[in-house]
Amino acid sequence: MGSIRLENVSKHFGEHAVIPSIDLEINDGEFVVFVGPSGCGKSTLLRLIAGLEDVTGGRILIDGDDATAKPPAKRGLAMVFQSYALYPHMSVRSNIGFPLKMANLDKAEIDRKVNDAAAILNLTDYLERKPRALSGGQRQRVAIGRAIVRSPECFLFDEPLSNLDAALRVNMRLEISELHQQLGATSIYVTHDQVEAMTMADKIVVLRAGNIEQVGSPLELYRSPANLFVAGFIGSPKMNFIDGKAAEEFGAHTIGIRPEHVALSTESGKWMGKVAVSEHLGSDTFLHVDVPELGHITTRTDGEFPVRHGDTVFISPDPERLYRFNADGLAA
Amino acid sequence: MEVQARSNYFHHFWNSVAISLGSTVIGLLIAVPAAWAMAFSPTKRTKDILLWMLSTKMLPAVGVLVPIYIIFRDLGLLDTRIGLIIIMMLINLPIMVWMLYTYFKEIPGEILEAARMDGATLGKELVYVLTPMAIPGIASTLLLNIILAWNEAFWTLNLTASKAAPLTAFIASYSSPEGLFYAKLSAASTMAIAPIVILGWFSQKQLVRGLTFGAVK
Repeated sequence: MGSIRLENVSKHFGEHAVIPSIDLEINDGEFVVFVGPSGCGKSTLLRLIAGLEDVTGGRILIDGDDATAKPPAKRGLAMVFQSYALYPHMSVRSNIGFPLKMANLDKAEIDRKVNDAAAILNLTDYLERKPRALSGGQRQRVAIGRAIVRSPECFLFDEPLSNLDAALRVNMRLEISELHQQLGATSIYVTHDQVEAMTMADKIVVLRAGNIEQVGSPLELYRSPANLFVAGFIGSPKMNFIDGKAAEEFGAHTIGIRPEHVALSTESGKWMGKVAVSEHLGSDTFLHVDVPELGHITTRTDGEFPVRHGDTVFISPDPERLYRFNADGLAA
Repeated sequence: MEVQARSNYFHHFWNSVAISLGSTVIGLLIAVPAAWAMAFSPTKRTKDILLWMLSTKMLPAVGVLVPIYIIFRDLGLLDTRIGLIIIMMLINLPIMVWMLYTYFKEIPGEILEAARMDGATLGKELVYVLTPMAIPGIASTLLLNIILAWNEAFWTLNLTASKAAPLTAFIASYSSPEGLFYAKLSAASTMAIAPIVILGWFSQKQLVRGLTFGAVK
């Protein structure tokens, strides 16, 4: 059991409304990712759910019970912080066992549960070390261990991977996803990285300036973004936006074309442009093409496409996968 | 030997110990909660209060000597250990609060939030998380204040005669009336500073670590 419901939740810091008003339903067992640019209120929203901040208005229901006034520890949630927030003076064993000690469990029970958690997270050999003697990834695992050890209803992750290097981030991403499959508990994950959001989420909540822009599965958001913001935020490289005359031709105020939906040719096509930069990634090539009537267009093609800086190429949009937006920026 | 014979060194030594330890312990009992409150639940006025506390250190002590002397006389605190403990505690309190405040500020808020998420009550948070992390800071505050109180001469000279006079007054007694006796004065001074030098020697590492904590990451 771990469903969470936000009803009309708002948060003001003084005069400033960080979150004007949010309604959201999170089902039991779901992996929900809050994503958005920095300052969009995603961490604040997570802290409201955790109980680390008080709501200004509205209600938070956990499993149908009103938890708005409950202190953090009574909500049955566990949180993994961006900075890991391990207790530096305690060994890994004491760190993981801390929530159990606070719950007054007896020592044998604590030891058993700590050992189980350590086995799941490959920390068994490090139990007697202090956090400062661990690497970043190991520290993050300890933080996760501290969260899973008391089998919470729901996990809250506040940008847990942003302090790790790129390779480790991919590993930990997989580990967290696997752990979610294994434990089946509801998870709420905050990130500004849309790749993390796309790969991990059952449901993505895109936030901007404290408002929900769109809620949906990763592919829903990719295939049918509700507005320009979501369209630009989901997908990498970013969607190309074209307005003016070229857009009117397609019956829209603005059109959006994803870099992977542009056909490239060296002989013929709809628009002609010059290659400004070509980035060869091995498997893919990103071409940044200057098209006189459109501006800068990013395209994605296979790794072997034989062009270089200054070459002329022709690009044509895939008409089936063209996104049309009206003057208000909403999907038309 | 002559120094001990002339005036009772150990009498003054115990006065010094009582005054510096007493004032430091009482000061800590007040300064720790004060600094804690200012570091973890600051209000709009917290910065002003801190500056105000520090500003009391900028006033020349002699400016408040007369009123304090009169208050002490009326309360019967002149030449008593408890009187000196009170005054030492008060003059060093701003420094203690400042040191502890900057030290507490170094403790990341997320760790305390993590403790709260883990189910720690305020009391348990203090016992298991905050205090162990703050021990180096509290220890260096304690040491610095013992040293400051030990060396303080202005108030100890003015508010004591003989009964509660610490070592500073003991050294001073070697100067004026009979002219300066350098040999005896040196011997007395050495004996006066010896205990604190030894204490400082053994706690040097701790003290430096406490004072420079946060200066280098």
